[in-house]
Amino acid sequence: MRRTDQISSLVLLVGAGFVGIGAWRLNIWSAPGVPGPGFLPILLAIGLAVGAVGVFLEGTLSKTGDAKWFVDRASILRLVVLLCSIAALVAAIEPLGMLLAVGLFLLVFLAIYLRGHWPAILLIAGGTPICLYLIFEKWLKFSLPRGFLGF
Amino acid sequence: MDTFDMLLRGFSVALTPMNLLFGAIGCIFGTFIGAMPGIGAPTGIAVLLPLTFGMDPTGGIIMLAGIYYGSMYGGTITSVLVNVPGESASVMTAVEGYQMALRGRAGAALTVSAVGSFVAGTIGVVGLMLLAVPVSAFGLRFGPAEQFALFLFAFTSLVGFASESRSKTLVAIALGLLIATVGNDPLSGRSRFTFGNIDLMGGIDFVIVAVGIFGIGEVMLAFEQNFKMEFLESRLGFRDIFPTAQEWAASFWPIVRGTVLGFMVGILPAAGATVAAFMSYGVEKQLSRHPEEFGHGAIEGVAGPESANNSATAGAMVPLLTLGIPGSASTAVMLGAFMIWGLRPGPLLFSKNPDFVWGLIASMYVGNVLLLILNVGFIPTFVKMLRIPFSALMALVVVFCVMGSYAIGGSLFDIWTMVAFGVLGYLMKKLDFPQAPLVFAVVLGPLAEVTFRQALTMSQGSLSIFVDSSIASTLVVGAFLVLAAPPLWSLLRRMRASARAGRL
Repeated sequence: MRRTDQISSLVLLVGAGFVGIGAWRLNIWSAPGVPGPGFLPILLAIGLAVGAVGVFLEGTLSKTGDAKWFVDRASILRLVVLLCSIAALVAAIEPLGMLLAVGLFLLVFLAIYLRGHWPAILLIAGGTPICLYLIFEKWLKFSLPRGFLGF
Repeated sequence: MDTFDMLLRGFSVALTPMNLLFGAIGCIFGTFIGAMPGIGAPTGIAVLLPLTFGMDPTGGIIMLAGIYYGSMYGGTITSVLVNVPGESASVMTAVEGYQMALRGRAGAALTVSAVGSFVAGTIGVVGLMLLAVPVSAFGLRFGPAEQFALFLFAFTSLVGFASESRSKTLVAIALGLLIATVGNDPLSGRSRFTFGNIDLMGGIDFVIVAVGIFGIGEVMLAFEQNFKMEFLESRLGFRDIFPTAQEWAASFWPIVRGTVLGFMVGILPAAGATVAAFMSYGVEKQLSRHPEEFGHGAIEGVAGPESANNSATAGAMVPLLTLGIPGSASTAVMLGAFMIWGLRPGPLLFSKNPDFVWGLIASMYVGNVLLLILNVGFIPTFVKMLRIPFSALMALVVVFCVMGSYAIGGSLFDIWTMVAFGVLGYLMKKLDFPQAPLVFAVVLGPLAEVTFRQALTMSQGSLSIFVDSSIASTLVVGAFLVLAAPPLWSLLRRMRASARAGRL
């Protein structure tokens, strides 16, 4: 029995219910014989529910157990650090501008993971924003968000 | 103009200095991406796709195609030297190639796979060239009902041929199609599943989904597993890269068989390079006079699968270019790119954009030559490049994902959405839900829905329109067969096995 399959299938079943209700409200038919905006979503809700039931049955009848989700605490910590740094990068884009935010993200991130290799860290953290500026602003003529420092 | 004239015209496009440069960049990136475990071809194409937005579409597709088939070449390097396949299509190569490397034959394994890939890639492009025109001419007979029947066949093939759980594949397709319905309904204009959010009115761009799932999702997985590579210190000097006459002789027929098998499997909507490589390995083991050598460094187990995965990339281009149906996750991302450039893949692409299509086909010939040179002559250089710390590379992938999703519409909302899809991609991997069918469905969803509703409107709601024409009915029957055949086949096998056990 795989508990993860059972839990995920229940979540999917609830999701299929929500989609079904949403589709019903959208009108399944626009006119007699003419499918409306809710037509495909209602079919998808049914498909999702059928798939979810299949996953539940597969999980329940499975002879193998759950694989370990995380090997150790360090794995969880690495994921948390990664997600927090990505969130910080995105949040910093508006106040600092894209290039500075990217440079700082790389500096902090690599300082954690490439401990002590300062020449490489500074080269990547400094060189990447310059490359991005040349590719996006100069070559592709795409305007990147600027921060309070004006770049 | 006949096919040969069109190909010559394609060469005049592919051999312009800029397109050659884009092809070379694609091949080098592709080889590098293919060699890096955790960054497959779909990830590489999705992450680098935004760079092509400002480019001429022909240059853009030449670069993306270079990444696609370059990654098949590159996947071999880590398979042989690290015993970790860079690409899922190189799993079988890792089995035999690493054993060869332990015996000091790493150079021979890499050269045979590069030559096999070159032969298969080149013959595969000939197959693509010969099939493309007749299939696209056939595609001109498709109306909405036939088109939807083709989409249905593609979706059921994904479920029927799924290597993972069929229920999970069905869920992934349904989720992808649901993501594609978010935004204003294309026919009535009514908002669907936007929850009053203006940013969602225009829908969720497939690039955001693909970059999140293939990019951030893979980065999360790599970080969780704290990935490190340890290279086998194998001799890779100039003299060591040449296989012996015996090794060449043993590789000849596996390369031929792998090429034919890979191309045919690649054409199927759901199969792709990985299935082709696995099937080729199985065929070689069955045909071998020394099956006991498999698993201990049989060169046939390198030559066959490597040829198969490369010709499959050319095969996958046939349904993509002629019918607008991707044959793999990578071609699904490329199909989305076509739409961003304002091109509709399918039968009309050949008549409306001949320079684009034939330039791409010709560039694949050029790319294969370039990749042969790169993969035989510069393997030690690639090995050195792979020693870049994994965390630094992953940080750069994150930056490219963020930049790429911002480049779609210049909105921070898109970046947050992309990160959310990254988390979804990671969870899908952890829970063994296949990611490719979801992206496949996001790309094909809007077209599938429009053709479905157009067909039903034409028939005033009657489903008989899908069986009225011979093309549509054949495709619908095919769709049900691919769905029903695998469970029926396994039931039959179980019944035979129990009958045999009863006799004993």
